Amino acid sequence: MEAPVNTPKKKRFHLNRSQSEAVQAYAFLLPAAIIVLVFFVAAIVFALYMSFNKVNMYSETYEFRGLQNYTNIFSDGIALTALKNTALFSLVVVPTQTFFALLIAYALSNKNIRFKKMFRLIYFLPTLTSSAALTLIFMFIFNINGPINGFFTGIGLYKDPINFLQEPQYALKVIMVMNIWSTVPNFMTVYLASLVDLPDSLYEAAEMDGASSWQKLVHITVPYLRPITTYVLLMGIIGTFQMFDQAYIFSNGSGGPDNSTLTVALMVYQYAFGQMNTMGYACALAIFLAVVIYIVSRLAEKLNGGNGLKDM
Amino acid sequence: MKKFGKRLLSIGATVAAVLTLAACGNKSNSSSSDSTNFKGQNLKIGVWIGNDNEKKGMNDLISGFEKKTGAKVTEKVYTDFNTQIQADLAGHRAPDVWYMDSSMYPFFQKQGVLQELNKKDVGESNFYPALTKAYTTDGKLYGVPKDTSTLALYVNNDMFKKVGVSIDSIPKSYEDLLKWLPGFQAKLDKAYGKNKVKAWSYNQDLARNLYILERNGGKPIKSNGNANLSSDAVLKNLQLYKDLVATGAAVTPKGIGQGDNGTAFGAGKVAMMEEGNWTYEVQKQQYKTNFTVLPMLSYEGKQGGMIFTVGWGEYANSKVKPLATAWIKYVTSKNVMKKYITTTGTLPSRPDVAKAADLTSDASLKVHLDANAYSTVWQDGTTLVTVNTSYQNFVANGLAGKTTLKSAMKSADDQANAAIAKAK
Repeated sequence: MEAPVNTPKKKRFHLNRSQSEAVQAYAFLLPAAIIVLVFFVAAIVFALYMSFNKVNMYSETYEFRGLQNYTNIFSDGIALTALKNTALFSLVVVPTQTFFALLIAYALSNKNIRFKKMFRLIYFLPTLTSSAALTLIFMFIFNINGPINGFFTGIGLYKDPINFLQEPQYALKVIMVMNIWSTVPNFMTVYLASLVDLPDSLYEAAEMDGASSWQKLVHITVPYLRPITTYVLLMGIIGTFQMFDQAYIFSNGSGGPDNSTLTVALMVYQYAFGQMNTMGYACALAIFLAVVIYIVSRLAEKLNGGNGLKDM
Repeated sequence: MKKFGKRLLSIGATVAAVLTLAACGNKSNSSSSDSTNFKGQNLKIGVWIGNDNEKKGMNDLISGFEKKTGAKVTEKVYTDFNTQIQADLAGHRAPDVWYMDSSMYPFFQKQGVLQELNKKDVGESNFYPALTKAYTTDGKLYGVPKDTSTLALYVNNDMFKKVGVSIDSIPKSYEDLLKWLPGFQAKLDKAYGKNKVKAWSYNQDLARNLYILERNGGKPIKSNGNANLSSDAVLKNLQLYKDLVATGAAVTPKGIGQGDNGTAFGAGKVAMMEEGNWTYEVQKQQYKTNFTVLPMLSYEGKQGGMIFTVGWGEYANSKVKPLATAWIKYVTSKNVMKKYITTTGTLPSRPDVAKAADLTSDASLKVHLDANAYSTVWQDGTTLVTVNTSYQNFVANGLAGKTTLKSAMKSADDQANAAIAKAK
C-alpha cells in the first residue's frame, strides 16, 4: 500500500559504494583543505611574492626588487651570525634530545621496572608547560642569584656567581639546555609508542644468546626504531631551526647580548614587525630558512640510513 | 614557538585576505559628514591597559563620552601593541583613534596613517609644550598627549639611615656622584655584607640614556636616520656610564638578577635608582618602601631626564573623523583628564590639570612634574627602535670593558645601519 513513490527519483542519485565513500572522504577533507589552502598555500605564495619586492604594508606599495632581498642575506653579516647561532643550536640540541629520548624510552619500556606509569607521567610533564613560562622559569634558575649559581658556588666549582643570562658565551647554551629538557619527553613518548610493538621474542632470543642490556639496545632497539628516529630527527631539526620564543623572551627581542641569542626566526620577526618597511626582506629570510631546513632534513634522513620516512 | 614560521605565514595570508576585502570596502567609502550629531555612530578606539586602575579610568572615559554624544565606543585592547597595530594598519582596519607612544609617533606619521589635527580645535596651547612638540611634524599637529611620565631619583630612606648618610649629602651632579659612590658603597658593604646591596642601578637602554648621549651636541642618530653611536661626541658622553660601572657601585637590574629598577629597589637590592612616576604607587603600596623622590642629577652642567608620553592619534582613513576628533577633545579636556589621572595615578599632560588636581602639593609628584621642564622626550626619528635594539645588544661589552666603547658602538652602528639601509 505504501509503495515508495520516490524510489525512481532516489535511484537517480544513488551512488555505488565506492563513489559514496569517495564523496564522504572529500567531505571530511574539505575543512582541512580550506584551512591549508588559505593559511598555508595562499600565505606561502604571498610570502614568496613579497620576498621579491620591497614592501610597504601601509601604502600597499610593492616595488619589484628581483633577487635583491635574497642576495642581501649573503652580504648581511648579522644574517650569517643568526644562521650560525641557529645551526649550532640545532647541531647540539637535536642529537642530544634524540639520544636522551631514546635512552629514557628504552629504560621505561623495560618490563621489570616498577612505577612505570608514574615515571612516564613525571617525564612527560615538561612538555605540558608552555615554552614561554618555561623560559621565565629557566631564567630564574640560571639567574645570577638563582639555584644553579647557588649550587655551583656551594660545591666550590667557582667563587663568583656567573651571570648566565647576560654573558654572550653562556646565553645560547642556557636556551639549549632548556630546549633539550622540554623536548625530550615529547620524543620519548613517540619512541615508547613504537617500543610497545617491539616483539618480546627478539629480546628473549638475544637474552638466550647472552646479550647485555646495552647490546640489546644497540642491536635490537635502535635498528627497530630507525624510522621513528628519522621522524624525531626531522621534527627536532624543524623545531630547532624555527626556535623563536625562547630567544625572544630571553633577550627581550634584541637577540643580545652581542647577538649571541639571535636566531633566524627572531631576525625574521625583527625585520617584519620592526619600525621599518622591511617585510620583503623578512619574507626572503623566511623562505631562505625553509630551504635550509629542507636541505638539512634531507641530509639527516640520508645519514640516518634506511628508507627514511617511507619505512613508517 | 616551533610554529612561528607557520604563524608568520598565516599572518601574511590574513593580511592578504584583509587587503582584498578592504580594497572592496574603500570604494563604498562615503565622505563623512560634518554633523555634530553622533547618535548611532560607532567609534573604535585602540588602547593598551596596564593595570586595573587604567581599566577603570578607560571605562569612565567611554561611558562619559557615550553619554555625552550618544555614539557607541568599541574598545580594542592591544596586548602587543607595536606588532598588532601594524597588522591592523596594513589591513586598513585600524581603530579610529589609538594610543601612540612618543617613540612610535614618527613612524606612524611617516606612513601617512595619521590625520592632521586642527591646533586651535584641540586646544594645543593647553598642554605642556614639550609634549605637543613630540606630536608635531613640519608645524602640523598629529596627536594630542594624554598623559606624561618623567624620571626622578628614588632614594631608600631606611638604607641611608642605617649606614648613617644624610640624604642631603647625595651629589647633585653625575660628576660629583662618581667620586661619592665608592665611599657610599663601602658603607653599604659594611652594613649589609659585601655586594648585598648596591648603591645605584642604571639601565643599558637608549630610553634612559638618550639625554646623556645628546649632551654637548652628541647625535646618537643622524638626521638621515642612520645610527651614529660611535661618533666622538656620543662616545664621550657614554664614558659617563663606563665610569659609573667602574666605581663598582652601579649595576643594571639584570646584573643582579632583578627584572627592572623598580623590583630591585623594592626588593632592597639597590639604594638609589632613576625611575618613572609609575613606580611611585607600586613602591608605596606593593613594596612599602620608605623612600624619597629627588630631582634628576645634572651632567656637564645641565639637569636632564627623560619624558615618556602617550598621545591620541586619529586614523587618516577613519570614516567617523568628526567623532574621532570629538573623542580626542573630550578625553583631553580639563575636567575629564583630571578625573582620569586621579583614577590612574598618572601625570597630566596639561599644567592646568596638574594645578586643579593639586598634584603640586605632593612633594614627590612635584619633582616628577617639574622634570617636564628639563627632560628630553623619548623620541628621535623613525629609526630609534632599530638603533636602540642594536645599542642594547652591544653596549654591555663596551661598558664592562671587554671591548672598547668605540668598537662596541661601531658594531651597534653597523648592525643598525644595515637594517636601516634595507628599508630604504
